[in-house]
Amino acid sequence: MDVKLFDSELKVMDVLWKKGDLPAKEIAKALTNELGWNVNTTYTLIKRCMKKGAIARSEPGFLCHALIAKSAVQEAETDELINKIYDGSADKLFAALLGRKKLSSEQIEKLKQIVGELE
Amino acid sequence: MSLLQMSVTGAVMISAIAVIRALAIYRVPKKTFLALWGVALVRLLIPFSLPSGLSIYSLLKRETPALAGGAAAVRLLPPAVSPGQAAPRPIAAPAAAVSVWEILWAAGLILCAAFFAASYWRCYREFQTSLPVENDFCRRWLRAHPLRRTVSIRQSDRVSSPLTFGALRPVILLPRKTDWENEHALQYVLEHELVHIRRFDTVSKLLLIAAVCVHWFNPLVWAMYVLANRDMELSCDETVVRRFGGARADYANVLIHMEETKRGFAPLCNHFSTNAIEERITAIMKTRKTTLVSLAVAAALVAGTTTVFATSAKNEEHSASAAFVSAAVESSAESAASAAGTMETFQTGEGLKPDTEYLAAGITAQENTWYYQ
Repeated sequence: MDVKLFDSELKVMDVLWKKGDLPAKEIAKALTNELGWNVNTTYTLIKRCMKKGAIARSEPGFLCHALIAKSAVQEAETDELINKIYDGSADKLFAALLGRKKLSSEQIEKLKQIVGELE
Repeated sequence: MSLLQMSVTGAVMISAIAVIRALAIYRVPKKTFLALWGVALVRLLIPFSLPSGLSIYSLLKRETPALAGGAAAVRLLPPAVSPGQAAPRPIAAPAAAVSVWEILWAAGLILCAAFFAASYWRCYREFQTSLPVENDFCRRWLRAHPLRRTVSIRQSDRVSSPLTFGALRPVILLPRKTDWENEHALQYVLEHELVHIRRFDTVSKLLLIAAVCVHWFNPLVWAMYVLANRDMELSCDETVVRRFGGARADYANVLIHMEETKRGFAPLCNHFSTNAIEERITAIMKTRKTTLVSLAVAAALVAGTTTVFATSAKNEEHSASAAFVSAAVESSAESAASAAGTMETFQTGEGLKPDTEYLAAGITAQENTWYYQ
């Protein structure tokens, strides 16, 4: 993914990721409820996402379709975090996450499972 | 009072305020300068004439009788448009004649206004995409500081430093990277923005922009725009320090830390150059308790500056020269044929002996000295 999505645009994408393809009106309604945004604000953001290639529009009633998957954004953001803050080494980030000591026992179990699968 | 006269007197007043500011900024309460800029704004935007014997223009008049009062403004007259170029105007409505200069001025005004409107529109659109802040501290803070208007706190990844917008429904916009856990710093930031909101600084900024648009040709008015904005910030800082019982170093450190964490990307609106932030830190560290003496000095400065610079010269020659200035600007666009008509444009007609032949030949008063009682 080569274009950076701003917080506000990510919120729009979030609605599509959670609820699938929606007409723009529905997205606007959802975001007004959640964030107090003006309907025009949402429309402007949808247009910006379209320009950035994140949303495709199809015609029966301005139907919006997310062109980028949430996992792709997550991966890109993680890469950026690792490169910018953790000197490009993923294990430093991993150590930091563990070091926060905020993991529950289920989470630790899950991590052990994932590491086990990778071996 | 014509626009040019308002602009010139405004410019003189702004220069005076700038000098006083350079000398006394750390010694008097900052509200002094807000009051002074307010008077300058009134001088620039409202065409009134308050004659006073103490005015600097009365002084000029006394010292240089022939070139008095109106002369300074007369020198600002643009050279005459030659009769051949100007279209003949009806004598009956001389005020309807529009000179090239007026058109130029109107164009400048429209361009400036369009520039400001466009910048504001762009900022406004970004502000609309801000996200709400779900933070216990902010909720408590808002409850502890009620206002007649509803204030909300929001966050955006598009701004690099805190700002306030909206006059009717004020919004404090904080950058996304704000450390929400740092309640110590937050309380200063929010307090500062609240002072802006309480004082309706948004409206003051609008008035400053109006002055700049109307007097776009006057570089001192642009200087006022910069300085007055800075003074609004300094005054807010002063109020915050006072409200926190004089915690100067604390507040200063918070500000410095925020400057450090500001990332490089261009902020949308209102951002400070190093010069301004230095001024702010110095002013904060030099904040002192308001004493009766400093209040008295402040009052004297405001009253004195207003009396000397915001008033006009005592005699009615001044109003005559004002009419002369506006008439000459208009008449320079009139053709020679309406020479008789230019007589009509002089409103006061008191003691003036305009030489219509000169005017008919398209020579303005630039090189002439008019002697009047």
